[in-house]
Amino acid sequence: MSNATGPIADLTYRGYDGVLDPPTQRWKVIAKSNIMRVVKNKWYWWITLLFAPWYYTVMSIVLFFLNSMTAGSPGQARQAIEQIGGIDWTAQFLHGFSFGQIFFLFIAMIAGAGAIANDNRSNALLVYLSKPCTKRDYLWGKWVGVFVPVAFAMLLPAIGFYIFGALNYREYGFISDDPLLPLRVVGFTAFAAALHASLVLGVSSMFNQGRMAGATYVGIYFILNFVTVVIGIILAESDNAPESMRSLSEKLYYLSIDGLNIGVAKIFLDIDSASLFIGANAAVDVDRPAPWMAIGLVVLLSALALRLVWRRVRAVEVVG
Amino acid sequence: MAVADFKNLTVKYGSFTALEDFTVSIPEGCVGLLGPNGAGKTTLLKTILGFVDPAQGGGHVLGHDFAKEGQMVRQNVGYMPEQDCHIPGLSAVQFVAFAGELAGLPVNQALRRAHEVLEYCGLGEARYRNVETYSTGMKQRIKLAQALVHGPKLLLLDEPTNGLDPRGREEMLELIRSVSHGKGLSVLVSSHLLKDIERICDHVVVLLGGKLRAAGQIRDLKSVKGAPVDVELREHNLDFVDNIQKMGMMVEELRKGEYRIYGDAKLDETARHVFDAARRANAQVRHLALAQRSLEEAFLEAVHV
Repeated sequence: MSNATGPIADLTYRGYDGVLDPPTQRWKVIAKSNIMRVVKNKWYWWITLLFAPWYYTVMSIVLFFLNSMTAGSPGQARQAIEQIGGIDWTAQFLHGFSFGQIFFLFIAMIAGAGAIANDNRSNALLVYLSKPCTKRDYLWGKWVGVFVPVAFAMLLPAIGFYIFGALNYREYGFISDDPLLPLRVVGFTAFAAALHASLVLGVSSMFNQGRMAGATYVGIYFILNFVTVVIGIILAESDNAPESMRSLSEKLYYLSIDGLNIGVAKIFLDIDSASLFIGANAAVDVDRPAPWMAIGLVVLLSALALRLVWRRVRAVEVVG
Repeated sequence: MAVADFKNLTVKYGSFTALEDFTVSIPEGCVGLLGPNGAGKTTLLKTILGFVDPAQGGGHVLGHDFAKEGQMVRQNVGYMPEQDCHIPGLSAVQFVAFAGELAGLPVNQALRRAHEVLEYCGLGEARYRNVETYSTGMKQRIKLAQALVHGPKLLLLDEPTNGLDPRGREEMLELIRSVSHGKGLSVLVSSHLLKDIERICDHVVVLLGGKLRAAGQIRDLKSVKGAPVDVELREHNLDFVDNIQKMGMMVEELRKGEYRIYGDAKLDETARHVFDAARRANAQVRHLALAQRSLEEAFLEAVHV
C-alpha cells in the first residue's frame, strides 16, 4: 500500500498540475501505441522484409545477372543490353505490388485485426473514453495506427527497388521513362493501405477476439477473390451471355479487395496489361477499371467500414 | 462547495428509464452513491463521463456542463470502472503511462506519474508485469492507478471493492480513504455495500429505481428523530426508569441495562437529567451518547423496504 518501501522516496499522493498536450493531439497517442505494437511483432518484419518484396528480389537478381552479362562477350552483352532496355520499369512496380498482395493481407491482419477486437475483449474502451479523448480521436488514432504500418510494408520494397534501379539503370531509362513514378507508387499505396486499414478495422470492431476478426477478414478476402474469379469465368465461358456481359466478366475481379487494389495501382501507374518475365495473376492482363469506379469504390467501402466502427465503438452497452 | 450538481436529470436506455428527474448536489470530500443493483448508480457515473446522453435535464461537474464540455469534465475526472479493463499486451507501468498520455500528459511526465501512482497504489513491485497476469485485487488497484495518473480533481469509483478478499478490501478502502482526505481530491464512490460506504464516506446519496431517495451527511442520516440519547447502565435498574419517566421523558428499553431516552430538552440538559435519575436510583452509567441508527436502518427507511 501507500507505506510500502520502494525506489520512490515520497509515497504520498500528489496531484498533477504540470503541462498538458493539446486535446487535438490525443489521436496521436493511440496511433503511436498501435504502431509500436505492430513494429514489435517479428512477423511484421519477416513479411515486410522477406516475403512481400519477393518479386522485386527476383527482378533484382535477374537484372544483376543481365548486368553481369554486359561485361561478357560482345554477343552476350548486346543481348543483355537489349533485354534490359526492353524492360517496362513502370510495370515492374505493378507486378511487385500485385505479387505482394497476399502478404499485404497478412500485414493488415497483424496491424488491424486485434486493434479494436482486443480492446472490446479487455474493456479498454472504458479507459480510452473516460479520458479526455473523443470517439473520433479513438477511431482516427486506430486508423492511422493501422494505415501507417500497412503503407510502410507496401512502400518499403518498392522504395528499395526504386533506389536499386535508380542507382544502376539510369542509362536504360529507369528515371527518365517516368519521372513521376515515385509519386504514382505513393499514390496507389496510400489507397491500398487505406482500404485495408478501413476494412480490417470494420471487421475488428465486430469481434471480441483479434484472431476471430483476422480469420473473418481473410475469409472475406478469399471468398471475394474466389467468387469474382468464378463468376468471371462462368460469364466468359457462357455461350449465351451477351457481349457486354463478357467484357464485364474480365473486370469483375476488380470487385475483390485484391483486384480493387491492383485496379487502383493500374490507374495511378497509367498502365493496362504488362509484360512479365514470369506469369501474371488474374488482374494484370486485364484493362484498368474506370478511375471513378475504382477510386469511388475504395472510398465507399472505406466509409462504410468506418461507419460500422463508429456505431460499434462505445463504452457502454445500450439495451432496450 | 459542490463538485457536481444535477438538475432534473433523466437518462433512458431505449424505453427503460435508468435515472428519473434526478436532482442533487454532490459536496466536496468523499461521497457515497448507495443503492441496490440497478438503482442507476453506474448510469449516473457514465452520464457524467458522457458515455450516455441525458434524455432530459443536465448538470455540472467541477463547473463544466457534462453534456456540452465532456472533454473538460473528463480532463478533471478519474474513472475506475466496475469491470476489469486494461489495454491488452501492456505491462502495468506502460498501461498507466499510456492512460496518462491519453489524458494529455507529455510522455516523460506520464511515465514519471505512472511510477508514482503505482507505488502509491501498492503495485510498485509488480509494475513491469503484464496486467493480464494480475490477480483480482491487483486489477482493482491498477484501475485506481490509471484513474489517478493525470491528477484528477474528482475520482469516480464504481464498486471499488468488488471481488476482493477481506484483506484486499480493507486495503482498498484504506487507499480510498487516504486519497479522499486532505489530498485536494473529491471522491464519488458507487457501492451497494453499506459498510464500505460508512467506512470511507462523509456524505451519501441514496438511489432506488433511478430516483433520489435520500442525500446528506451520513451523521445526519443516522440520527434518530427527536435526538434521543442512548444510555447503558451497569445493570438493569427499574428505579432509574421510574425516575426518568417522572421527569416527563419517555424510555425505551433496547436490551437489558440499555435504554433509549426521548426528551424535549437539548442534549446537555437531557444528559443532566439522566445522571440525576441514575444518582437517585443508585445506578452506574457506563455509556451515554446521542442515539444513532445504523446506516443500514437509515438506508432501509430511505428505500422503504
